[in-house]
Amino acid sequence: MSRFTTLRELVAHFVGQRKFFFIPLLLVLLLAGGLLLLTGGLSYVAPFVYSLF
Amino acid sequence: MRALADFVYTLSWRIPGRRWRRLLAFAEAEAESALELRCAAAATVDPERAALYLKHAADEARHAQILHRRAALARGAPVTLPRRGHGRLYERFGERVFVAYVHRGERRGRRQFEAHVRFFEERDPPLAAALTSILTDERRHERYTGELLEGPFADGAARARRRARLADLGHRWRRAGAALTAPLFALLMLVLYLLAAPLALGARAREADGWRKED
Amino acid sequence: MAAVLGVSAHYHDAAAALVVDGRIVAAQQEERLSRVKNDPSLPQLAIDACLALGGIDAAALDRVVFYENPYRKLERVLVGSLAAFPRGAGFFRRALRSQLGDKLWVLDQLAAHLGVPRERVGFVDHHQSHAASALDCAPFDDAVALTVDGVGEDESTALWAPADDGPRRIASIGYPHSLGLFYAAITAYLGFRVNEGEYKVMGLAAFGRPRFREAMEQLLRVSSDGSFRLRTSAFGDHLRADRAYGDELLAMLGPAREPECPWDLQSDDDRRFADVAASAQLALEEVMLALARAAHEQSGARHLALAGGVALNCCANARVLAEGPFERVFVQPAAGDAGGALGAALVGARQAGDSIQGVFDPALGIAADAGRALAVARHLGLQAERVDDPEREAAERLAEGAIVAWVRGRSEWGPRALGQRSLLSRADDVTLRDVLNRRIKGREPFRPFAPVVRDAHASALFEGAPSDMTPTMTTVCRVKGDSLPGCTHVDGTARVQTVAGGGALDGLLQAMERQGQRALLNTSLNAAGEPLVAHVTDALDFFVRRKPDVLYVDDVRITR
Repeated sequence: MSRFTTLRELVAHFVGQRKFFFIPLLLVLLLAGGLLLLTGGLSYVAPFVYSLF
Repeated sequence: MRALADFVYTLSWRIPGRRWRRLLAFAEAEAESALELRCAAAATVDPERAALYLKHAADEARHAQILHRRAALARGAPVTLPRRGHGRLYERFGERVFVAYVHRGERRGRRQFEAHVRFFEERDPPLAAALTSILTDERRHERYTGELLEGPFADGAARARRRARLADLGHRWRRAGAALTAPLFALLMLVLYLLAAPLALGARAREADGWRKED
Repeated sequence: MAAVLGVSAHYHDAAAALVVDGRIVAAQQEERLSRVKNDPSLPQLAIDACLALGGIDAAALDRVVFYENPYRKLERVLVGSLAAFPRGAGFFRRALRSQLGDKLWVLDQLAAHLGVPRERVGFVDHHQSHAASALDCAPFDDAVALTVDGVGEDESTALWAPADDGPRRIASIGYPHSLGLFYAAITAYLGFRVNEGEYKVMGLAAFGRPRFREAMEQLLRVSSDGSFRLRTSAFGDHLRADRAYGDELLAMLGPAREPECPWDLQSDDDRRFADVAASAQLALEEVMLALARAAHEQSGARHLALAGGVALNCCANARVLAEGPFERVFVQPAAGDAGGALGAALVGARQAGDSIQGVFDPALGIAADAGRALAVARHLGLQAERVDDPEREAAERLAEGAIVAWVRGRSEWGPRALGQRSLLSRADDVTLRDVLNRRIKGREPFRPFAPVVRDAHASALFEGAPSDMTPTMTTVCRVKGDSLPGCTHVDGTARVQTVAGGGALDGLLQAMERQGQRALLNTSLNAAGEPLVAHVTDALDFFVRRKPDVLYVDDVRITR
């Protein structure tokens, strides 16, 4: 739920900068970001695992 | 079964241009393992186990150097060993599950390296010899971690092994997931970037020139 | 009265710092604990270490302050990539993956790790955190802070005046014009890792001549008001992932150096690269001087406090002190992003109403556990025992030519070893220097080593020492005479550390004087590509793998 605070602050930042036109782009980006959250994010390390390929 | 496993483990050696990349990936895995073990040595309360983890870490660091050199030889040019951090396994799982995880990894690594040694024995004897030296250590690592699970960590070892198996599967799932998501995300970002093109007109950066003074 | 935790993370050099009731209680870089060089990840180990050192639980924290504004950062990334349309597509994809996957949520990650309400977690501006770390740790008042780095949210350079609730910005220079990114590009061009190899460029520069000076003037133009402008097209407009420079730079300087190739400064190619390093170093120094003059003009302050990654360039710092308009210059030793954690905590403390207390001491990290070192060493099959007078004994061994690993007390804050986690040898023996470079640390052969000397002898051995920068090795001084060949760089300078009275290192240096040696060679206890050791187990790991002659952990002597 703390992520909602971040989202609120993020939108408030762009509103405060009067860059309203970024907000639709941001919303779509955040949805795309959900993809990353589902897979745990970024480049992934795996110690004690040797690649098969 | 062994023949099938051998085939899977050694498949990519047969693909031109893959050999040095895979050796480099192995070097990376060894280097990450060394980092995990150094952290474990610092964190464990038992000085004897700290010493065991340090010896293991020194072995992994040496393996990383060997494999890094082998990757450069296979490529015919220097290669940079990437540094990507580590999974902080001890921190996340605690010592018992960490040891179970390492034991599982070493056992799997030992089997894979046995297959690699068999593959390269005739095809590339110097590489086979290098991999054999690593294999000797892998067997020792598998043995001592197994002894820890039967000794000081015997109580709860079965549960620890199960958790390690789940964690291992989880890591490999996430690794595969990240690899699958990457192209999808890249495509999505490209589409968004193109759709956001009109914003580019407004966003043409006035390059900040000189001092910006505060009021 | 507040307990404030400052954190830097997600770019490079993650760290945590704790300020309680206006006093700096602890500061720790994550890399020292995770053993990952320049570790950028959320510094969970460092946070836990700081809380343990401060004797407080996370629940007792009044504030947690992140060193950067994540929303301004995202805005700059978006604007920058769109403004470069269509060339910014790759950068857009990579940067947003990183922002959306991780960096944007850092405040939530901190709240979750600490178990504190999200409302208690805030942020300050990146360069403000740098400025606070410099101004609040400086041993003088009447100062202006000059912060210079790659880029924060959207500025690369800024001037700051002290204020009760945290430094107040006077002026700034905006991205993409960045001295830090200029030097980083040269670092990459020379085949070194960015954010790690910059000081190698500085060391290499002394072997070259600045014959690419005109090219550098085209890449980096200084204006009459002390600001500067980067020719961004030569740096790929900072959009490339594969390298930090563009084809235009290659056309001006020649082909880049392949990473990992052994160095041979007798070859034409490597001499060219040394000349590029010398030219870039000269350009950076001249810009830093111009910035210092502008800082003086715009603030009227008598003294200068420096921070930001570029402030780690101690050759430039030396020129700023010697040729600039300020009476005194101080550099916060963790001047890079790690220092932002300390600055964030200091700003947070000020905003909570505390004034900053105490004299800055860089021994802020985890303590050495000699008993544990003794126990683990014995299990490793090493000889380990407690000794009555480790300083006297170590001095005797050092005088005989031994290379001594020295672990004492709480570990250092910043990239330099200051006697808490050091590798020591005689300063007058070039053979030992070569053994250290080649066999023990595995470094390039052109890398110099630094001397440590007591304050009482500093001026006899070095010009301009001691100063406000010498206790933390953030400047270079000209060496008088030729008594320290193991620590004198090819240009006759050394990055000297001076030691005031008291402490184990002072005791060791006094014992060395009785052996006829006024200085020691002091280098960091780590191999190339590895972080400085922190835990005693890391020191033992180093001892086993790299084989110095002896290791002292407080009063425990360890040998093979």
